[in-house]
Amino acid sequence: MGEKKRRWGITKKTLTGIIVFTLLMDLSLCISGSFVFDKVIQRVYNERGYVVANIIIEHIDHDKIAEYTKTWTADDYYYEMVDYLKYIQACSDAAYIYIGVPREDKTIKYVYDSGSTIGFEDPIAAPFDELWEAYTKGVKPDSYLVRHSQYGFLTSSCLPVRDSKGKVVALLFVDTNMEIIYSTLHTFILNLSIISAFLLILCCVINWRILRKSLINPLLDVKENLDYFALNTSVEDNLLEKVQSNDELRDLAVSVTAMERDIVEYINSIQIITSEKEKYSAELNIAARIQADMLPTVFPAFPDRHEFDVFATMTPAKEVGGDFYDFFLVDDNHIALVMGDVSGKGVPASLFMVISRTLIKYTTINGGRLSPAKILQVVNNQLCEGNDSNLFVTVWLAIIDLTTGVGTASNAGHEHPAIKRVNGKYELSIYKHSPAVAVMEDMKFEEHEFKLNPGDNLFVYTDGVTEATDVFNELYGSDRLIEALNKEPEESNEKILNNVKNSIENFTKGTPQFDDTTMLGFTYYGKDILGEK
Amino acid sequence: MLNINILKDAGKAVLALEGRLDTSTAPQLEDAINRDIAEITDLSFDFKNLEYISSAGLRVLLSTQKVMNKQGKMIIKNVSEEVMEIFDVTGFSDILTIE
Repeated sequence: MGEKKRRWGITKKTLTGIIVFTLLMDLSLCISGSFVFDKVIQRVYNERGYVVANIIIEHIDHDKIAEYTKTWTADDYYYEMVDYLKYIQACSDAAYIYIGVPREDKTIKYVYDSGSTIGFEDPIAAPFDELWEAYTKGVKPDSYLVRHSQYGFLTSSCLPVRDSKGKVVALLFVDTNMEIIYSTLHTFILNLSIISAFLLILCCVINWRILRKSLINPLLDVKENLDYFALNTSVEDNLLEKVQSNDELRDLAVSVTAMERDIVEYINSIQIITSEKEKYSAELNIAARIQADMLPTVFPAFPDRHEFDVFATMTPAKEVGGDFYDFFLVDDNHIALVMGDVSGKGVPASLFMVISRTLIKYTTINGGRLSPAKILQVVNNQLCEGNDSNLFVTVWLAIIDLTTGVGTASNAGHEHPAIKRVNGKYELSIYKHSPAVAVMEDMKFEEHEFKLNPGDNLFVYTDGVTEATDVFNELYGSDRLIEALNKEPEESNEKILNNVKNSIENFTKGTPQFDDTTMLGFTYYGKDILGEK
Repeated sequence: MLNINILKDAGKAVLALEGRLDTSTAPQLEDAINRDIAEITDLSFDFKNLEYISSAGLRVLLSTQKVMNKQGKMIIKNVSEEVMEIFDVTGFSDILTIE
C-alpha cells in the first residue's frame, strides 16, 4: 500500500506542474512589476517635489536667505516667507519643506523648517556626500535621497539656493513621504496580483483542458487498452476510435493495435502448432509402443525350457528408435538370438527396424534352415531394394543348438559380443565383422562357429551402451561395460543387465542420451541339468 | 559440434571434418555434400580432427560412396584410431577406401 500511495500518476504530475508554474509565474510577475513600478513612482513623486521646489526658488528672495545664514535672526520678510512656504506645503503633498545649510560635521542648520525655528540644528539623515556636493558645487543631487529618519520614510527633492552673486548660500528641500508612494505601490501590486492570477488561472485551466484532451486522455486510453490486453490477451478494437488526433499519439495507437493483433495471431498460431505437435507426439508415442510391443518382453520367455535362460531390455533414448533385439525357437532344438541397430533415428529408422526384424525372423524360420550368413544375405538383398535413403542395419545373429551348445554366428557390422565361460569372467570376443546389412546389394556375409558349455554366458548389446556419453562428451566405452558385467558375473541375466544399466546411469549422470540402449543376456545350461531348476 | 572445411578445385574436393559426426551433425554434412556433389569426380575426406562417428554419420558416408561409385572416386584420409575401430566393427572398412 505504501508503494501505491507514493505513486504519482501522469494526471497528478501534470496538474501539479501547471499549478507550480502558475504560482511561480504570478510571483515573478508581481516582483518584477512592483520593482519597475516602484522606480517609476519614486521618480514621479520626486519630480513633483522638484516642481514645488522650483516654484519656491522663484518666489523667495535669495539675498535675504543669504543674510539669514549669517544673522540667524527672523525679520518681517522671514515671517512673510514662512506664511508662503506653509501655504505651499498645505497645497502640495509635501511632507516637509525646509531651507538649511549643511555643515562638514554632517549636521544641518535650518534657515527655515516647518517643524522648528530659525537656527535649529539637526544631524543629516540623507546621504551626506550628495548634499555636500550639491551645496559646494551648486548641482542637483542624482538620487532621490530616500531614507528612514526620525521624521519618517522620506524622499527629498533638493535645490541649491544662490544669492545674487551666484554663490550657493543654502539648500532648499521638499520632502515627500514615502508612505504615500508605498500605499500607491501596494494598491498597484494588489491589482496586479489579482488580475495576473485571474488571467494565469484562466490560462492554466485552458492549458489543462487542452493537455488532457490531446495528450493525457489518449495516453491513458492507450495504457488502459494495454492493461486490458495484458490481462485478457484479446484485441480491444475501439482504441483507434478513441485516439483520433493526427499526431504521434495516433501513430502510437496504430502501432499498439497492430502489435496486439500480431500477438493474438501469433498466440493462435502457436496454439495450433502446439496442438498439432501434441497430436504428432501422441502418434509417435503410439508408434513407439507398437514398436516396443513387437519385441518379446515377457520373462521368463520360455518357462518350460530349462536348458537356457534369456533376458533382454531396450531403453529408448527418445521417441521411436532403430534398436531391436529378438529371440525365438527355430525348431524344438534351435534358438535364434538377434541384436540389431538401424542407422539414424526417428520414424525412418523405426520403420526400417520393423522391416529388418520381421525379415530376419521370417527368413530364419521359413527360409529352409539357412545358416546365419545366408539368412543375412537374403535379408540384405530384400532390404537393399528401394533403399533410397541408404539406411542400413548392423546385426548380430546367432543360431544355437540347444542339445550340444554349438552355435553359428554372423556379425554384420555389429558390436563385439561379450562371452563368459563357466566360472570365468566376461570378455569381448573380437573378430573381423562383415559390413552392415543393406549397405550394398549381393554382399556375402561371414559366419563362424562357437561352442557353449553348460554355464557359459553370452552378452550382446548395441552401440547405445558403449557410446553413452557423459556431460563432457566422454564415451562409456567397452572397458566400463566389461567392469560392470564382472561386478556380479554369477548372477542371473536380469541382474547383470540391471548392473550394466545402473553403471551407465552412474556414468552419464542424467545427461540426455541420443541413442537407444539395448542389451541381451543368454545363459546355456545344457541338456544334462534338465529338470534341476 | 561439427566444423566442415571445404576446398574445391574443378572436379576435385577435399572436406576436412572437425568434431563429432553424429545424429545431430550428420544432416549438416549431408547438406554440404549434396550442395555440390553433382560436379565432383574426386572427393576426399580429411578425418584428422574427427573425434567420433555414429551410425547416422556412417549412413552419410555410405550414400556419398554410392553416388561417387558412379561418377568418380572417394577416399578417406587421416582416420584416427577411434574412428578406424568404428569402421572395422561396422564392416565399413571393407566398403570405403581408407588411406
